[in-house]
Amino acid sequence: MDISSIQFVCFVFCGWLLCMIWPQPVLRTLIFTGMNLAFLFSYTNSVFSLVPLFLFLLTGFFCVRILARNASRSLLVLFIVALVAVFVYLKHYSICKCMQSLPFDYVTVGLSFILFRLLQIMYDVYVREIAQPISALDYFNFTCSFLTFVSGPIQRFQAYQEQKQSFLVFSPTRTDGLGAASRLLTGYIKILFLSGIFLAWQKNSAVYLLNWNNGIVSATLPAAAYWIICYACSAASYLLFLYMNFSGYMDLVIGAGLLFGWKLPENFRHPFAAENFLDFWSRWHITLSNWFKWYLYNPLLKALVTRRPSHTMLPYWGTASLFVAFFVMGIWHGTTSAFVFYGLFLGLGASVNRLYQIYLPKIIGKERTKILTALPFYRHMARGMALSYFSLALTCFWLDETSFYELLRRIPFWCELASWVILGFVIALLSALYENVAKRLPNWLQEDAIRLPNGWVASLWFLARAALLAWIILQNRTDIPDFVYKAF
Amino acid sequence: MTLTREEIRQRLEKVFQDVFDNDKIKLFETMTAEDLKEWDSLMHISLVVAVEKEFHVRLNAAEVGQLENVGAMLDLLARKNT
Repeated sequence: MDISSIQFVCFVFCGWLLCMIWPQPVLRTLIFTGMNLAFLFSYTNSVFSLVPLFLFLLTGFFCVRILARNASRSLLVLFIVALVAVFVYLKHYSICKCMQSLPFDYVTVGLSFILFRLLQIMYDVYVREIAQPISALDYFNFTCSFLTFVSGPIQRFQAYQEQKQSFLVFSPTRTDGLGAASRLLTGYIKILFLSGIFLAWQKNSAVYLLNWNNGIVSATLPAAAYWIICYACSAASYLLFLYMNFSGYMDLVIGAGLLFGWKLPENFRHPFAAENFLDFWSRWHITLSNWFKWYLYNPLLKALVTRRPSHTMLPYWGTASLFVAFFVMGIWHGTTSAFVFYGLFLGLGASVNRLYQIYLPKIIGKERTKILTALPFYRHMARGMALSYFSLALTCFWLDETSFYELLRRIPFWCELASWVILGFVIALLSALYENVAKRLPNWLQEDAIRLPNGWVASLWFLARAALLAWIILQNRTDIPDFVYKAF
Repeated sequence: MTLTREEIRQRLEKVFQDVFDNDKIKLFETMTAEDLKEWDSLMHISLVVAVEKEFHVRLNAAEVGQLENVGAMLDLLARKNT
């Protein structure tokens, strides 16, 4: 079931109605379980295609049960390695190309995010952060909640348990309803309208890029310049598309969750206001970067600091841990070898950013660093370069593996570098312009003022979005982009 | 021997002063990384390792991740101390 479809709206509404008609906790649990099962089965016409997924879930459950009885480090490591290996096999990562795949089609939607939840439960059971036994029902509803099944947001089991208590007794108020409706409106506008605009722009820009005839880039400088501009436009438009697509999906699931009393964590927090690459990752796909911070970066850094305690080496341990965490996060995103480059890009960006933060004060002094980093020109340029870098890193998302390697092979590095710099400058300019306009807005147009249920401006903004959505639906568009992260 | 919360706070304050090399640091319950500029993700781990050494405890990944403010640290150390 496509989250952006009318079927999903009806599905959520019916579930909500049933929860209101039968508010008893036991019945609500049953309704929620039924909705999760129905959502899962909506991804296939054949029950058989869900067998690998169910076996994966069952195996994970037994691993959790065994760890609850026997908190053995060897068992934990064995289970983690085994489950990750099975995941890699089921998702057809390129490392498994030589292996025989299963002789039938099967569902892998949501498998990545199930793996995150499973690893988190296993570890927290092992360290007794989760002391109470987990029931099969709770396990299933946590790993396969229709709200977070496809692409998160990634929640810890403990947070899910707290939210569940709220859901079981939830009685929506007018504010809850308006908040949910507002999120849903925003989400649908992003997915059904805005993402399509940016994707069309990206495809138009990319047409010239894939014209490899006779080394077109090196032929003439104007041709190279045109290529650079096209690449920059493709990268920028894809970033905007991805933001609308992904954050729109988040708006939908968070909005739907609010109807049931689930307060899911946010995955985006003004990512385009990031001050640098590392700050960007505290604003983009927040639950993913938090997961990697908690369960990979922190333990790795702590192990390094404990084994080799040295004040001098501390920043370098931090840099190394950042590189590893971002590299793994990058390769998780895709099954082809091109995503190894994505991982390297992310790891390099994060570690260079960190080293820059370490060395700049050493070179020019702490006070000068403070003054420099507060300068508007510096802030906007840093933002521009970070966003531009991330835009280019996303190239493997919109080029297939063959075209990606063709790009690396045929296009001189200086062209890609020039794209990065030019795009960075453009973003910096736009950032400066936006900041100057934003601070001149009257109070009644500021972000808090347009958030329901505050006053007439918020109501007007709500009605305007509702009207826009109605117009979008009446267009009866068939070119609505698919949800990108469903494939991860 | 079970430590009181105040004793834990005093020892923790000393740890903060040593890790951040600043004798003027005074802890309060709601203190977070935003109140102490040098308290970034890197220093957070240094702090965790120093806390483990001072209080003879072992903090797992989930506990490390949840230590967002001084109050949470005091609660955790008090729990581990009982």
